[in-house]
Amino acid sequence: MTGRMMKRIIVMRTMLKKTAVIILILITAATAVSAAGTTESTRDFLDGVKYYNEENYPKAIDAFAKIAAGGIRNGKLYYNLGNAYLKNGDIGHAILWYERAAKLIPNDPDLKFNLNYALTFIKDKREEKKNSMFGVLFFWKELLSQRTVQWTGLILNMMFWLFLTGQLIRRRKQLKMVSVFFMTAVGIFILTACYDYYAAAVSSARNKEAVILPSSVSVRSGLSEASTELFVLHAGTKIRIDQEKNGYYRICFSEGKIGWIPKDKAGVVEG
Amino acid sequence: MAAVFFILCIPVAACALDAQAVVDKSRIGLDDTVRLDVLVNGDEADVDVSVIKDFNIISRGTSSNVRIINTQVSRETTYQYVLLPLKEGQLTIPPLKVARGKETVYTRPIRIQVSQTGPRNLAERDIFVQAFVSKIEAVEGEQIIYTFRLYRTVQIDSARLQKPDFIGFSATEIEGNRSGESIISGRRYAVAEVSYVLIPLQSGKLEIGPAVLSCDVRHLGLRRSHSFFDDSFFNRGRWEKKVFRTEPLTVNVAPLPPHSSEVTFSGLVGEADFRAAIEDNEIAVGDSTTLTLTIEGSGNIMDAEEPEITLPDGFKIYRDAPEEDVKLGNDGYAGHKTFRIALVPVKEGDFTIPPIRFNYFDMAAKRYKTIASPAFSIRANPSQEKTQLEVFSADAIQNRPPVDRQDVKFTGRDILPLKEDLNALSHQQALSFGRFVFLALLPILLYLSAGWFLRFMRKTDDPARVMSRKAREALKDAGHPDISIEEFLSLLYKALITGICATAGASGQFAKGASLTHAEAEEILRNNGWADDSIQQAIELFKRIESARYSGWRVDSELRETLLADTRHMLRSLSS
Repeated sequence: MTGRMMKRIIVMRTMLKKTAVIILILITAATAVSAAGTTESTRDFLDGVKYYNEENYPKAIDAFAKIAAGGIRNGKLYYNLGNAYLKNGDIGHAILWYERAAKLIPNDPDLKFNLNYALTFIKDKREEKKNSMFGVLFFWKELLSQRTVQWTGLILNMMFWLFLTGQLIRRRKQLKMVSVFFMTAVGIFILTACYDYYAAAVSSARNKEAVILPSSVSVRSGLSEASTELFVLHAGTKIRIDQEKNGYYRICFSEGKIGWIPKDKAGVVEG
Repeated sequence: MAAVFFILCIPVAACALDAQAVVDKSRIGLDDTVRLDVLVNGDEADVDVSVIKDFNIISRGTSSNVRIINTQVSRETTYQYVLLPLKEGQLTIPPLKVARGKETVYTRPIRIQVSQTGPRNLAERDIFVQAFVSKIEAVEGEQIIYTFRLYRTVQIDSARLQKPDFIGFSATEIEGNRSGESIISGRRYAVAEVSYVLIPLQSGKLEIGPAVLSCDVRHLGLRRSHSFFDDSFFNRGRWEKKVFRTEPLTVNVAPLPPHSSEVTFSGLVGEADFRAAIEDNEIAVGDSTTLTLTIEGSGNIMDAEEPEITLPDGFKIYRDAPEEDVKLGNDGYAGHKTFRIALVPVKEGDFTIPPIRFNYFDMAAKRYKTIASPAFSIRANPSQEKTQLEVFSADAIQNRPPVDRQDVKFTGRDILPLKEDLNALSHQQALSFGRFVFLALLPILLYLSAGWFLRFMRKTDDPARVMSRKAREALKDAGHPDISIEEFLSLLYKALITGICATAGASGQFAKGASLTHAEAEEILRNNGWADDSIQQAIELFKRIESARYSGWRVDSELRETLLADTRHMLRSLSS
């Protein structure tokens, strides 16, 4: 081996060592930053629980809201925020956070109980929705959450293809009846899940679900406080936002009851 | 009326989006309306009319028009507004912003001359409107009744009332419009009345804008002849669109005086009575008794907060949602609000609940007033479960009366507690569409991979193993009782020759199950090191099968079993 080659190998080894040290430092720093963030969230969470148990609800709200503002999306955290707002007498925010929690943990019994309790404080009577053909055909969608439909579809799909793979390996002819049954079930769940994704995409673009926040808000015919008051909604009432313009939302309470409200008067359930 | 339109504006921007604003009149009276049309070429666009401050928009509508000229299709959308001037003088409709997608154009301003018209003396009019409030001096939260009246001596149709905005007030219409008659300066007027209850939400000088009534008024004409056709049955008169407006009103709202009482202000402004009652003064530990607080009177009863209750130690409390029965009448809101609180003693003893005090602003006395309930005594006895322990026997169980089962009802209402697990801090990632599709396609990929792998494996299978497997399969099929003699012998033959070929790992013509002569079979076995007696047995069996197959032997079940057993035995020997 020549001296020149030896020199090259030594330089390369030194560079590799340096690179390894830099990567190690970066990994350690990232872990430390992440751990610091986690520790702060944990402290805020424990403070929130402590304040709540001491019946200091405004401070509990601040603590939980700080965690949520940090980007943590968790049904239990949202449930706690709903509880703190409800105990603080703020029906609008309580129902908003319960509804947000229901998107993540729809089958949680505590959440269902507290949300039902909070709904008894709403002053506006919901106007009955007409049954759509979709609602009649896919009545079972009301019973299963979006998450359940997705995972049921995926698990059935996995079982179906594993069954086919097994048949292939054992060199057996595929059983037609079983395959058709499996394929139908998989098709229904997978297509429903895809429809849910589509509906969520359309809904987030055009039709946002929201909740009225102040104790009462005038729904007006135009985008100013001088516009004619059409009707009044109260805290906790669920609405749909179909347009946003100049700091105002055009909202729909029920068929035929639409109008404009300032943006800060409504909280969007899923933004 | 023939509408003569004055085109006063042209679009400033000469782009694909084009908009024009036109009005039907440039000079009007204070009680007249002007029609504004915004003409937009093509599809719908957003017209911003919030900049119109000198006029009230009393109605709006949209229409579209499609024209086909020389196979060219063009579309025009018209936004129609009916405007009512708010004052006299030279008023302006400012440039209106018209936007569609990223395109924006502005119309040019339009000036309208508004002058005072019509007789000023009310009694000279056939029809006029008035508005007044029950109080022009009020305090924050006090109820004020706003009344709008229409006086008329002529027939009207299609009446539409646009109420004022009531900025600074919470306004609710009092259901049930009233009508009657009134004589003013000797003229008999039919009177219709609409009322609203207003609650000031802030202090200061609050202005209530004009209420606007638009309607079609019937004019019978002044000439009276005695012609047959002038009979009222035939003379339907002439209908004219008119707009009437009340004078604006001002209410001076004073703030509530500073609250100095040690009892918390409930928020109620009005006249009220307060009562408190307890359901049962003597209960067992763990049982509940209901404390009922009732606030009754007039004013914003629904806003009244629950009075503070000081409970001795040893009680748990469960609040029910408050019940409201507040009705809106001609004098405003009146009714009652009831708070129910379930009290559950957790230890034995005699307890006293001190007087419960309710504080509100009394409108009659113009000061804060406190009403106190009497003190309540509660005796909590030991729990019956503890003292009444019974010794159950079989007789006692048999002779006891049937249990009267009851629905379980809530005795108190509260929410369930917080979730204190730290997993509330984990981020719940929703299953994205991309991941969902990936997970759905994953088993399909697995299936396809398995298919490719098996196909590859089949291609690379050892010919000896393939032949051996074929021999076993043929033998297995030959053992099936339902097949014919010809099929049976054919399968035995195939099993034997593929078995012999398998010993040599032969392929090609033998692998396809082609025929084999005795000499070829013997050569294959000999080349692969088989002993002479084994070769002899194999060839012997070979000949027996061939003889049965081609020489017309009668193959009974016994021979069939023998041939099958011998072939099975031979294949085992060959594969070992």
